[in-house]
Amino acid sequence: MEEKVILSCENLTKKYGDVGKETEVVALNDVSFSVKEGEFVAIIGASGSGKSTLLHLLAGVDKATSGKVVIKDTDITKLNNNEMAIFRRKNIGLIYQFYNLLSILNVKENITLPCDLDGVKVDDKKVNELIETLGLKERINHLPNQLSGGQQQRVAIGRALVNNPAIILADEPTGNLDSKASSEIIDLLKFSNKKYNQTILLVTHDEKIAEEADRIIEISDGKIISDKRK
Amino acid sequence: MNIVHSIAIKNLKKNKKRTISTIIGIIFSVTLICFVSTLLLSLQTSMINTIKETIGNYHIDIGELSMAEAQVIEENLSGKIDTVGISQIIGAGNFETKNPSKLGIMVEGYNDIALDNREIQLIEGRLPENDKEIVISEYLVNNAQEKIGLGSKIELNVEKVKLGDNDGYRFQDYDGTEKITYTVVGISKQTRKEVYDTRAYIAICKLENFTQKRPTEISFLLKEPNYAYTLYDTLYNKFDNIDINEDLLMWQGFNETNNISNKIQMEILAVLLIAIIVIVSALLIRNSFQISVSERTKEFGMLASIGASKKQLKKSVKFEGVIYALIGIPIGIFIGVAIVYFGILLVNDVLIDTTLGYHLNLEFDLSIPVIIISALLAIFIIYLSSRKPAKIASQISPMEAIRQNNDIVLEKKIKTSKIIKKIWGTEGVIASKNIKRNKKRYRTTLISICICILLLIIASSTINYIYQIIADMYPENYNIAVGFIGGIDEINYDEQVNYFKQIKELDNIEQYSTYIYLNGIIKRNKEVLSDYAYNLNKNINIIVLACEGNVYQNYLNKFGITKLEENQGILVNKFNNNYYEEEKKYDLTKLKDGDNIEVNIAGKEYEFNIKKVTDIDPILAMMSLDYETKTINTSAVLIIPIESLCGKNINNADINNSKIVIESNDANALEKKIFKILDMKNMTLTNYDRQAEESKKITIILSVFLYGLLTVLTVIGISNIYNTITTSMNLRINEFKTLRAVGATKKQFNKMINYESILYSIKSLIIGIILGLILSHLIYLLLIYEHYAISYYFPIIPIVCVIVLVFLIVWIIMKNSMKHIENNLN
Ligand SMILES: Nc1ncnc2c1ncn2[C@@H]1O[C@H](COP(=O)(O)OP(=O)(O)O)[C@@H](O)[C@H]1O
Ligand SMILES: [Mg+2]
Repeated sequence: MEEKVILSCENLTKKYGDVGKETEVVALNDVSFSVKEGEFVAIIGASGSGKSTLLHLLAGVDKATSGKVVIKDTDITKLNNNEMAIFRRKNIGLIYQFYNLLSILNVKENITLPCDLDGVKVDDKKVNELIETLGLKERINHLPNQLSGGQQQRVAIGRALVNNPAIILADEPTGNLDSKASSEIIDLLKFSNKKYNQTILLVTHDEKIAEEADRIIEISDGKIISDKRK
Repeated sequence: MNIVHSIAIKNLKKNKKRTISTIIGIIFSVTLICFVSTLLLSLQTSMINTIKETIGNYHIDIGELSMAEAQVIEENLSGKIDTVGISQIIGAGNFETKNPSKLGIMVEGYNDIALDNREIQLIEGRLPENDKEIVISEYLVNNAQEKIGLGSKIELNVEKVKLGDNDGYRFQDYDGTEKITYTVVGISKQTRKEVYDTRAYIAICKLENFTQKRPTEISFLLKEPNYAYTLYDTLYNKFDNIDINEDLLMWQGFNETNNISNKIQMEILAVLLIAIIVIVSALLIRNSFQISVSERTKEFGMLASIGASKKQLKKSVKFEGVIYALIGIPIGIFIGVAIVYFGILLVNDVLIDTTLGYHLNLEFDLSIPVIIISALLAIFIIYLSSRKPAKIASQISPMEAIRQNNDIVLEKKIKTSKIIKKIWGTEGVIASKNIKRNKKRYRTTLISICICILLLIIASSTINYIYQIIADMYPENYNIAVGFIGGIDEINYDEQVNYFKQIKELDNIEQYSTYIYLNGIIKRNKEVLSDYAYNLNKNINIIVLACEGNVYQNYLNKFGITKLEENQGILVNKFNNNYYEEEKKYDLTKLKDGDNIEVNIAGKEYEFNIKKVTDIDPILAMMSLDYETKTINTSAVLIIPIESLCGKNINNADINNSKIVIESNDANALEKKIFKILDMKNMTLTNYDRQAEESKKITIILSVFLYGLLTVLTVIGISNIYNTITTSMNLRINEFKTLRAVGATKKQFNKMINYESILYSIKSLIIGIILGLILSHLIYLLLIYEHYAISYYFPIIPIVCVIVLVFLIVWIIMKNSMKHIENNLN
């Protein structure tokens, strides 16, 4: 079976600071690669190597200095902020190290937030199933500050998954968690990868976690230095 | 409910304190807008109604016409006239009452419109429905020999009148008599006509048929009220008895081209007050939105990162405004209207008589358009204040949420002066950097403090000037005046002097002055008169002022004279024959000190020896003698002692005006004693102390209004300051943490906070006080320009109060939020 390319980037470059001056920082330097549907990719590299920068460009929350990003046949570097926001809520699930939940909404409301923003009717059965999968069934009405870090991150994962996005981008989702909670989160991501054929791009600096993925891309100084498939 | 809306609502619930303080701010501002507009509207309505009742509901009134003339006027103006009231004088019949000067009752017939629109203020009963039914005045009821009431029959031998022409000017001829029995169907307050009529009471019946020759009066309302002024000018020369109801026109908003109508003055006042309210409350609300947005930066970033569109982010901010409006506006309108309603009840209770010239009974007037405009204005304020914060929220990039620390990105290096470092040390440097960094947020607060300061200074100056103006409305040197009006009160010269003698012997009198003002005539005589006066070719009038008492004595002392004998006088030898040449004065006679002068008073010749011929105008010199006649200074004056004319059989009819003015140490007590001597009907007694009390009440109400307004504005301002300071402190919690980590002590924190509050306060005080002084000086100049005699008032006490208050409030809020932060740090 020919697998579909769901995300590709070409010659992505991101520079910070005053371009051309000595304060210029090249965070990402001419990066190109592509991801196929259902792939679970880990991106590893030392701190400051440009992993987060790459993820931000792929998610369209930051603008590339040059190069392009194509997700589901859409060149997102051509979208304006508003179009990008709408594209994002339909196609991209984002997970961060800090869970970024709305403290005033309960678990279920936080999870369904992207659907609600999109104005689509939430499939209650599906959401409840998702919550059960996340192991948050008992916590459905709790507010974020009543949950542990691992639980909060699971809510964030639920929020990323709820809209059936084309791709999930996760930036060190376990960075703030102990090892038990970390492995739970990774298991959850793997499960969704297997069960829903969910495409996942996971940024981490932990090689052990990266080992769980199908493919590992290593970055150093803003460049891809290796790209291995299992 | 939409997710964006429910997030907004949940946020408001979470930040309860700020939400409540913002809603209170909105409630207050709607209350104020509603209060100001409803109050001013009610005031205007009250004035119009009072004028309609006491003067009449007409624009132009012309009297002493024949029916034919009235019809011509009506025809010429057809199309321009809205309604016409017509009345005719039917005639008068003798009717004896307790008041000897009123000889009878004059019956006038009014048509329906005249009955409705003229100033008949019914106390009891109803308006007449035919020409045998009459309305009479309460004054007649009180003076009647036998009891008269509703249903009483009054039989009059009516001498009918018709218009006649005599040497070019109108006078009334008799046209036979008829015995008519009238039935009293209504009792009204005294009409102006009855007050001015020296000989008759006025009874009003319905005019059933017009008669050509009867004296006719028409009063009409114009379709285009502005036309009244032009019409008045064109008719003025043709009719003697024409009157324009300028008060009504002015309050209804129609003015002459070079004049601003009272209605427009009101509207300007309303717009000014409302503008201030709008600015202060818009500042508060905008500040509160800005704070809310900056506190929720991360949240907006997160929402953006999971795909909230710009529109949705904007909506979530604006929806907060919708909630504010939904809660704040109805409550505000309700409170504002209620305050005016109960305020008016209260004021009517306190204000029985006013010195405004009218008996003003305030009426509550609620206008739906005014309420709607207030609400729209509030919505507009909220919308306007939410626009920019909403835009800021929509532009927050998702990166704000993703950024994994809370460091504040410094855009620019901030310079601080070396002096600050010297005086306040490092703490001062940090504090002043903070103020500079948060310049924008501080600016809003600064403006709102400034406005409060400025308003306080303006209000206190204005109230001071109003006090001065009111004080100037009363004579300085006396507080009781008792007078007899020429022609009406049948008390002759000797009786008047006798009454004055009895009065001046009463207790509680510190000083008194008496004068009796008569008309004298100097015969045309070449030996006596100056050439100018002689060439006028007529006998010359001279004021004869028969005086006694303190002011008169001071006047004599000016010339080194201790006493005038009965046949002696002082001649003020300047006069002015031409009304239009106010400033030019001419010599009246050629007489010198020691000469004799012959004056005709009440038909008899009197000769006086002139002790002194002078130019010193007695009316100016004795300004305080007669408060009302200050301006009569176009005639020459002969001043004589009051005894000179005693026993000379001078009738009241020959006396122009007479008065005793008294400086009393207890005006109210003296007033009662005078009433015991004199029957009220025969004199006018003015107790200026009591009138001053009434005006004081007005001033107090005004002060309560102004200071109340100010207090509310200050509360809005304070809640604004509170919001800003607390939030900026909360946002800096990390900074405080770091400072503590590097070992800053509690004392150093306090020093920092103190410095910030002082810097803050000084800045707003300087700006606020300077602007306040400039504006109140402008008010002073304006009042001077309007010829009010006021002296400049430097509002030192308000300034001191403001300084203390501002420091106190800012310091308390800072201290408070500091405590809050300390608790959070531990
Ligand atoms: N907003 C920024 N301004 C300037 N430099 C930045 C910014 N964000 C990241 N960088 C720089 O870009 C490089 C890559 O950063 P990042 O992508 O966050 O690395 P990683 O996530 O791999 O630790 C680093 O050298 C970092 O200092
Ligand atoms: Mg990173």
